Amino acid sequence: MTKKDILAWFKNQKWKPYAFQLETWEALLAGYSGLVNAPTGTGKTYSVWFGILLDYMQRNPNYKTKKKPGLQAIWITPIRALGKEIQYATSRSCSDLEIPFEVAIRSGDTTTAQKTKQKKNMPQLLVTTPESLHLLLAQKGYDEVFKNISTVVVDEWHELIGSKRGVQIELALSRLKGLKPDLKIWGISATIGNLEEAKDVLLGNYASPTKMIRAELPKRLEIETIFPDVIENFPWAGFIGTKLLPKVVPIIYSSQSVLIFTNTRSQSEIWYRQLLEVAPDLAGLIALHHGSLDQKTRAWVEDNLHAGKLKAVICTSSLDLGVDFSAVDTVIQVGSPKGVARFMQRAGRSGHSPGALSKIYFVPTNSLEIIEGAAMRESLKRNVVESRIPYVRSFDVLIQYLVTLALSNGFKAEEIYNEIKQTFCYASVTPEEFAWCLDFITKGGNALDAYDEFHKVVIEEGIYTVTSRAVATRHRLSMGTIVSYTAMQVKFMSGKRIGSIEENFISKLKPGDVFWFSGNNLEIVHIHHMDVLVRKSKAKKGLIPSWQGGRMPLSSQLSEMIRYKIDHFFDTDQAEEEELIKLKALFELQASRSHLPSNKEFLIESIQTREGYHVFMYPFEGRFVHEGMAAIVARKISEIKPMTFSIAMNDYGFELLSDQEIPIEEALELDLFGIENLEKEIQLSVNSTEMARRRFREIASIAGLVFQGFPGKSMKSKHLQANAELFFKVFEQYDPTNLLLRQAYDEVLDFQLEIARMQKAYTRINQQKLVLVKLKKPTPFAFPILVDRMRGKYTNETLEDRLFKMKTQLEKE
Amino acid sequence: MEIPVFHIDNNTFEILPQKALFWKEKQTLILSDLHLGKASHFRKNGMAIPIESGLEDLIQLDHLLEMYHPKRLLILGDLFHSAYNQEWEYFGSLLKKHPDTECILVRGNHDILQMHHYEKYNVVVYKNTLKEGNIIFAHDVIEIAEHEFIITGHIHPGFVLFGKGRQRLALPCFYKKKNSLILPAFGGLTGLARMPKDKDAEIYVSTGERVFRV
Repeated sequence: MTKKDILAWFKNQKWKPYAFQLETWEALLAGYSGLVNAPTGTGKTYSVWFGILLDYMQRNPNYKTKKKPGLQAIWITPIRALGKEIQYATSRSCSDLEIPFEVAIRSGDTTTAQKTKQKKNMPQLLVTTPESLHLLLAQKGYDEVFKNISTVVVDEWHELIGSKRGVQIELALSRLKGLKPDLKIWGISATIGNLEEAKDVLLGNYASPTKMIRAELPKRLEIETIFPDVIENFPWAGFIGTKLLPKVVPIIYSSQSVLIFTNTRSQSEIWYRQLLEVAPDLAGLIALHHGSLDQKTRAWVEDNLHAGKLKAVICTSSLDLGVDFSAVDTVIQVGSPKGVARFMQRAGRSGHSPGALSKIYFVPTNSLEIIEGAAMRESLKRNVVESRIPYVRSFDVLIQYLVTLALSNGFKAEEIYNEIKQTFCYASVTPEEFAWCLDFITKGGNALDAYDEFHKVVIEEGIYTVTSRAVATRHRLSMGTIVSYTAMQVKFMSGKRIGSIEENFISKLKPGDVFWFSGNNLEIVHIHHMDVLVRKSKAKKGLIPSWQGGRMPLSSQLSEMIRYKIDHFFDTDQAEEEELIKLKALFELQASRSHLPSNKEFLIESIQTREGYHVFMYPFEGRFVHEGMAAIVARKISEIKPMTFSIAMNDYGFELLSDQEIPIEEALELDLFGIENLEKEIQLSVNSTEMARRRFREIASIAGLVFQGFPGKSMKSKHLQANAELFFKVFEQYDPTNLLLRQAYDEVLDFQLEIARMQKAYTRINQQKLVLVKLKKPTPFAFPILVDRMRGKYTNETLEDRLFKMKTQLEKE
Repeated sequence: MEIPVFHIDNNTFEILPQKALFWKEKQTLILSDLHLGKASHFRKNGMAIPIESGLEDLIQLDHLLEMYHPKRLLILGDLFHSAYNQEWEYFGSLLKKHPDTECILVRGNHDILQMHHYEKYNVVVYKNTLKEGNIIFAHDVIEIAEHEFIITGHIHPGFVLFGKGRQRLALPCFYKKKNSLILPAFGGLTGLARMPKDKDAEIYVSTGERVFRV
């Protein structure tokens, strides 16, 4: 077979290869690694895939008769569902073209029997996930498995790069490159703001030549905002948005199949319930899809969506990715999409041919949010899209990886150090830091005690290895970088799994109580260990579970567009946009109760209520930046006098609330926003907050410090349970230079506080005119923050003082 | 500094900020849930918690014993976190340092050490309960008669205080009702179980420095 045969095959399918596909084939044949930038549904799979086949056949002219050629290529996808699609597409082309290439999937769903079969006779293409690839590295003799491999493909790299799963890929690639220096690495990515960097992160600092190939296909997208009839009756706060649900129903009826994206799992449950109340005839035609539902349920929904049997599916980011649903012709986004890339990704979920117009409806959940429809349109007009910031120096993932290697073939320290130095993530790790990691897994950190019994990884003749079966089992069970909260399994009496909910929620309930989950009212029959046994209930109302997990911040790009739209509100030419016309009354109220800030102004509002003294500020920079700024502002004010603040924020602004009067005027005179060294300011302020502690949960789990136990756990494994908070406390006290602890603080700076973005915000604010308004009534800007129950705190009062005040307060009530 | 007290029949109990009780008449120091050896147990299983963290509790206990010179040290279960490790010997040397104090353990669910370890340091072990007059000491709550009073540990009680401006503070607490008292966990490597503010409950939180009734 030659390129000509492939071109003929394309012709047979009535396709014409795109220039980027041809270019990718050539690049692969010439031994390049690279990144293909192409949107979903444009034949990106075939760009790399045929390159792999052509390359294989070039190297093996006897490919038709070659016996047991072994594993030739690995295809990594971020989700299992995509794997099936890849398997289908690749194996179909192979059988059409009569190439004896076997394609198999290796994921969490793969049975032991299949795995055994694969071990005996590896397929030529293995479709897998980052986690499963690491599990392969945890098996003795993995080097044999990978000895013939020529190419690794990382699909949807834009989804992986900004996560620790991306780091896992970097590490796995470094090992494979160590085994096969001429290995080719190919990424496939949608457009993101830092595409060049994405390529550098994936391809690392290896000797192979690299190439970026862009598909340059035009994209057309139309946004329509759903408006309330009377804006005055539309709520000022909230993020559920069911008020507009009746307006969504006709859209469902007039479409073939609809995806309704919500931002949280509880929100999707609420929408599903209310949708059935408003349109009972949709029962059986609509379904729910979110991350806490059982895998089987989700697969069922995906299959039926694919087959066009469902009228609507209410989902979360769980369906951001996945197979193409050609039956879907309409996409609805409920609530702020938070970012342009995410919004476009969701809009692209409706089946359409490349270049066709996609339409997406935007359903705001509160009045101010309406502006995001206009901001989104502006972003598309200007072609701005967010960057995905890669993780660097993730010692937690490195430690996990080192133990993984130790428990399969074992490793030599120098060899692995040289390999990880080639990656983007660990390029700056010093020999001392690497030695610390080795100490951590062999000696458990700085062990001062001569009788210490720490045992995990041991060194035998210069090889780091795991000798304890218990250590090996625990490690295999806790590998991965996706950390979930303690989840209880919800099951029917028959044993059928429904999904999982958090212990936090279920601890408030007892047998006989009813809760709403997976689109049903469920009555608790029995709670046993980590299982909640339920039966369906006819009760009318049930509590809706909530899941922890951060709310995403508004992206920097979208924030800028919102500020731009507010700034241009009074411009005559802008007033034609429907979002702005609808917002007129609200903005005028903001102006009359307080002030509507232009881009040259920074608004600060203060008010006294029964709850205490409030100060509001509106940087419009997303909730994460606000959380950090609020802490810094709080600390600076409390330098005037000792105070305790409760802090609340949303994507538009933040609030400081105190029991004492806040000396805001005095603080402004003392240059409240004057920042000499932001990192130092943050460290001073953030130390008193919970941020690093929260970050540490994930780190501790990935690094194998906390162990959740496993099914049928013995007494002894129960004795090994502890929460990350305990480790955090103990490291802070006894081992403050611990690299995992330092990592928590670094991650807070980069991801939680987005220090780069905060720096820009400070620069901007310092050029703005400060406008301080004393309010009589809360404004449309202030109200949504005022009613937010998610709070942080900042204090420099002593524990005893605070307790005494709370106690007095308690007695008065 | 004022230390809260309560009485059972003619017995006086002081509620100490160090998360322990002092029974004046019997010169007995009572505490629960030390979970000694937890750090070493973790380390033995490859979880790298700093070893010093486990020693802090022993230092605290040493301070208390020096301060009160009790005739008896009564521990209401979960003295040792799991199977034997080196930390037991540290506890042993601490007991040897205070030869006039008799150590009594009412066993808890974590106390799985073999008897010879207790015998080595003369720790008197009660399997389920210890009864002295109308006062019953146990690890976890059991049914008692109307006129009796039970003192237990096990659940690591904590109380969450809320203040103006939506502040929140979680502290270990002594949880007392008419016929019962639950002690906070003495050990530092433990969590907190949030207790409800029942009408008939007397709750004493400890900041480590002081005890407050809330």
